[in-house]
This record gives sequence, structure tokens and C-alpha cells, in this order.
Amino acid sequence: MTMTPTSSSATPPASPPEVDSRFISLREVSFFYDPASAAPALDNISLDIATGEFVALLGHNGSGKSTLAAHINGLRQPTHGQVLVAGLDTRDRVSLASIRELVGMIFADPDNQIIATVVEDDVAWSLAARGYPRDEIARRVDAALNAVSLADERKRPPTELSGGQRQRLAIASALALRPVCLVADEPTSLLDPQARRETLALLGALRREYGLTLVYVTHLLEEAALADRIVVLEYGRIALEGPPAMVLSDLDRLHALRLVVPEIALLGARLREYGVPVPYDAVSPEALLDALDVFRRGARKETAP
Amino acid sequence: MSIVVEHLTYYYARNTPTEYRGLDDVSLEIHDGACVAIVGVTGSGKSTLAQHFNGLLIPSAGSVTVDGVRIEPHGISRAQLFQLRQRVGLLFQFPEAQLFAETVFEDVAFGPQHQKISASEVKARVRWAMEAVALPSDDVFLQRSPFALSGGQRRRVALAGVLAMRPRTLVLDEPTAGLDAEARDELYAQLGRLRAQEGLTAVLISHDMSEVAALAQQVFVLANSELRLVGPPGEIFLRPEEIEACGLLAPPLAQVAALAGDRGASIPAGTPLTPGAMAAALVASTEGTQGASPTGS
Repeated sequence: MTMTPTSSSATPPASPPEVDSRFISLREVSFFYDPASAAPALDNISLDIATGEFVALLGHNGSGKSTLAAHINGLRQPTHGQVLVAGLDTRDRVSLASIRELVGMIFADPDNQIIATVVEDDVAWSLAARGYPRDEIARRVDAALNAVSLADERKRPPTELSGGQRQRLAIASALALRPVCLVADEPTSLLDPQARRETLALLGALRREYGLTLVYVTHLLEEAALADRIVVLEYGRIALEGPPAMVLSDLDRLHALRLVVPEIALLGARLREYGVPVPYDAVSPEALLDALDVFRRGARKETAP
Repeated sequence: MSIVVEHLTYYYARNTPTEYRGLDDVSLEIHDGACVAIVGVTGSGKSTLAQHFNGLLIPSAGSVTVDGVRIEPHGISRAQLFQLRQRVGLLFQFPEAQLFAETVFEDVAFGPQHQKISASEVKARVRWAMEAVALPSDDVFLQRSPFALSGGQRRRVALAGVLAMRPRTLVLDEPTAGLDAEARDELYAQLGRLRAQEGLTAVLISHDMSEVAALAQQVFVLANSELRLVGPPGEIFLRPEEIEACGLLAPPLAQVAALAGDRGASIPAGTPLTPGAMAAALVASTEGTQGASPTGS
């Protein structure tokens, strides 16, 4: 049996036609790794994610963030409750193939999902497995490799690529299916600082260019602060949820949740004590110094004759 | 002087087709009682350098002198090596993976038992080491299996095993990797107490530049098997281009200080890289706000 792809444009992935505020919908989801255990990995979670939204799932080790992420493309199915993606239930075997085209996933270690011995074959693999025609596969592989700036490496074995390049290859292979949503589970945790920045910038660019929905799992507040909304998990429950400025406004609470507060947020808090209007979500040196510039201009005005 | 490294070069797989220069003409000095950090990207030579400090690796050229014991390419006796390993304790990355004994006591006692000391002295050392890492030193806890402990506790048991040898110098390879914020702060506090009480020299190998800025008095930056930068963190981290040329990122507060300088609000050299000190310096740098002070609350 072959599936007939509907779109043939050369750029991955297709923009969603309209904003669906419940594109991903978790309804009272509980999940037990061990049915005999009294402690669920996810405990009655309800969460809606809109198309085009950038949501960060934040929590320390064991909080349930990766388990939740694995529910979004049906890698895990809820023990209780329901997960819907574009209205399709992840427990429905027939829907799973469509859900996995809609939602791509990448992980901390790209080597776990790189299967081919040549870069371009790896990107083509999931398309070939689904029976896409040759010319469509070629178009999509080109577009996906261009989107992650790996076109020059297409004939090389993945083992010769750097860690950052291999993560970009995993992203390209996910993009080839033209997903509406990408779930990224700690994709920067094994990368050096520069590859980390590049990967974050790439995901941001893909989101802007293709309207990709992004669900980003991390234990780093610096990275979560880039999202539209942060969902903080603890003991399998949602402990705190809101835009970064709201989540970062209560540093004591973040500390109680065993999260490392970014040093620049701590500096921002000290500057606010001096009356410098530093926004709560300023976690980059630039954002912090912009606030200081505003303060300095205000001070000059006051002392001007 | 605790450790003196002179023109140290080290080759892996010497005189084979896979020969690789792990260290290239490195010279440095570490003072007695200091806390220093060795930083660099993966493969830059950090661990290779640290493994020379207790004779795990022997120089291909040059020398390493630790507390007067000199290690040269062809010159170290078994007796010297024994002496060296008592003086320098090495805590490897993810040391909990090397716990092996059936009980916590046996694991911590393993080192001292091989040091020709009495059984009662071994017991006293184990209890002292357990207290130093803030773990219970009662018999019930000491008879537990190390594998029944949490990850943070297992790491502390591994550190206790090193401390029980009563080393003068402690080399810590990524001691907080994989620990959560609470376990990390706890480990820093223990290290601080040990240094204050015992006058230990500490050599920290780390990827975490904020950790380095907070703990180390002196930083050695390695890149491509060479020593590239040396200085206190408040100095070298304010030169972001040089740090980035070594593949590293300066810690966030140092990035703020460097960028503030570029924007004409210069931070005095030597300002501690802490939120409090940095906030005061940034506010002081804004003109026309004399006498600014925090409003409290």
C-alpha cells in the first residue's frame, strides 16, 4: 500500500491553514510506567497547545517532562485520559501513522535516530518507508537539508559530522515529513555552547519560517524563557504555567521547584531593587542591558536643567 | 608550591600510527591551598593534564612536581608513586559508577586499608570522611549497600572514599555533572568547608563556567592540547573573544560585564562575578544616579 502525499511544494513543512487553539490536547492524562506502582509518572494532566505556539516543558530530572513529550506523538499512550492531535486520538492505531506525520520528534542524542550511512539517505528514509514517489522524496530531501544548512554534507557519512551537525540531521529527517509540530526533548543537552546556540537559533528560524509548533523539553530556564509559554512539571503534575515573564517573577518558587534560576535573572532581581526596570523575562545580557539603558536615559533627564 | 608543571608534553599511543599529542608544552604552577580550575572543550587535554597530578599518566617530555615529588618521563619509583597517590586524591567523572563494595563502609575504607594503618584508624578515617561529606556515619548507614542510595548520596560516598586517604590535594573531574541544583550547592558547601578546615588544594575540572567563576581563584584554559589563557576568573572571563576562540562561553555575568563595557558603562576590573556586586557596579556606572542604593524589600 502506498500513501499519496497531498502537497508538492518544495519547502518543508506546509504552513497550517489556520490556528487551532487545541491542536494538541491532553485531557486528564495519567501515565504509570509500572501498573502496580502507586506513583504515576503523569498525574491527571490537562494541557492544550495551539498551532504555531512555542511551549517549553520545564522540570528537573524525573518530573515527567519527557514522559509528557512522548505522549504527543503517540510514543506513549495514556493509562487514563486522552491525547488528541488535530482531533486524532493517539490510542487509535489507525490514527497513529497520521499523528507521526503531524508531529516529529528529536532527542538529546541524535545518534539514537540516525539510521543511514549517508546523510541524504537518512533524510529520505522515512519518506521512502511511506512510499513517497522518487521525485517528491528528492525535492523534500533538498528542502530539508537546505533548511538546516547541511546541503554541502549530503554525501558524507553521519559519523563524520560534529555533534551539532548530527542534531541538525535529526531535525532535517523530522522535517522531511512536513510536520506541523516538532517535539524536541532536551536537544541541546549533549552539545557544546556554540552548537547549543546554533540549534536554538535553527529551531526559532524554522518556527518563524514555517509556522512550526514547537514543544521544547528542557531543565534550563534560559532556554525555556525563549518560549511563548512555560509549563513547569513536578511529580508528574503541572506545578506552574504561564508566559516566561510570569514564571520568572517568583524566583523563590522556582528554587522550591529545584530549578536553577539563570544568573542573569538573579542579577535582574538585584537591579530591580535599585529601581532599574528590568523585565522578569530578561535572561540574556542584551535584554538586561537594554533595561539599564532605559534607566540611564531616565536618570539623565531627571538631572538635566 | 603544591604542583609545578614544566614543559609537559604527553603523547597517547606513542610511536604507533594512532599517535596523538594530548598535551603540548604546558607549564603552570598551583599554589598550596589554592582552588584552581582547568577548563576547555571536550578533547582539549583537561583530563590528560589532571591525570599527571597523581602519576596515572607519566610525561612524554617535561616534568610534573607534586609536593616535592618529581615525575619525569623515565623517573618515578614505586615508593614515590605510592607517596604521590596518598597526597593527591582524584575524583573521576561520575565516580558513583566505580563504587563496587557490598557496603558503604567497605567502599570508603578500601583506600585507607591499603595504607598500612591500624583497623581502628581506618574506622576513624571512614567516620571522619562520612561527616566531611555530610552523610550519616552510624553503623546502620555504613552497612547499607551503596547501590541502595540516591545518585547524590552515591557521589558523596565516592568522594568520602577519596577523602579517607587524607590527601593534601583534591582533583575533581566534573564533580557536579548530572546533579540537581540542591545536590550541587551541597557539594560546593562541603568543598568550601574542607578547604577552610584542612587547607586542601583543589583542582576543579569543569565545563560549567559559572561554577568556575564562583569557586576558582585561578583558571587555566586549554585548547587543542595547549595552555592558552591563565588568570583569575574576573579577568579572563571579561575577554569573551579569547574565551570563545577556545570554544567556550564566558559565564553569563561576565558576558554582561563585557557587553556593558562595549556600551560605555564600564565595570571596574576585579568586580566579583556575583549578582550583588555586578548590580551595584552596573548602577554605579550609570551617570547622574549618585548615591543609588537598593530600596530593600
